[in-house]
Amino acid sequence: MHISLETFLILAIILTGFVGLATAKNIIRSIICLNITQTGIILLFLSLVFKPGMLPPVMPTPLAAMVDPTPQALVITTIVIGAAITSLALMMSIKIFHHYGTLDWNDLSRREG
Amino acid sequence: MRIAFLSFLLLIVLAIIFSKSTIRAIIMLCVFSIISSLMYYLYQAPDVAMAELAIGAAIVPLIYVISITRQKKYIVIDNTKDRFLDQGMAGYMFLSHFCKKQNLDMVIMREIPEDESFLFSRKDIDLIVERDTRMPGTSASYHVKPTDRRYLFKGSRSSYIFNDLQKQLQIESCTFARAVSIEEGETHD
Repeated sequence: MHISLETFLILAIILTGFVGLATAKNIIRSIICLNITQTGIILLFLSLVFKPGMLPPVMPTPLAAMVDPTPQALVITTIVIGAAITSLALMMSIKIFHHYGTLDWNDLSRREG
Repeated sequence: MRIAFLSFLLLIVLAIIFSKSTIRAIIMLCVFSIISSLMYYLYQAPDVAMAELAIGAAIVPLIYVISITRQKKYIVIDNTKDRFLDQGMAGYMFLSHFCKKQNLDMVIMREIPEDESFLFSRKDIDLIVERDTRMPGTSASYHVKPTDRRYLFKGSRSSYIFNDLQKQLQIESCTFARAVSIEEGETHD
């Protein structure tokens, strides 16, 4: 299977987000890495249907010349839901900080045990 | 052109992961969102680009900054009706020293209205300071002379910051106040 350089870079962005999620010490860092992974997945969806020379899916364009609008319609929901998830996670982090007095993953697991 | 922007995005992601300060990571996340919205436009998805520019580059970093400033606040309700928590007094000195040690910003709220529904509606209160009308050992409550007034620090039992406050009270062997922990689920009054 041939993977173009663009797809490789996008996959690298997604995987770097995952690595950051796994190695982050701070809760806020983890939420940032979640955002990065989400953006990478959106880029992957959009790059799958794109071929050079195509036009945006606006009505006067002939059907053969426009990109497939289905992934775009799916992805625009992802952005909004990502913002909602981010705000919910940050709210939880505020509660955790007021309860435990720290946002460090290691300190948190030590305080629970 | 697309490959150049994608490589730049990858560089920004690496910079976010290896950055030391959180606020710098948030600013770089904002730049990351702007560049990625440009990338969506180059992929012929202008509607997604508009949504990302509005939500990802403006609202999400704003939420991050607001939450970072909010979580450093340690909200203290002053219910003593005297000058115990004024600047330079013993209670203020103790609490500000404690908050500086815990890396918190103390916010003292006064002039609370008489109705207690105000206290019930606010769940983010960390500490309530009250006048102690009851001496240890006796059950009857009576009025204490103003010279040997004692004070109560009320906080949630499960909160680790409040446990640190109790330890700090014991270490400094403060006579002017004692800490009372309240079970979770009970109201703070």
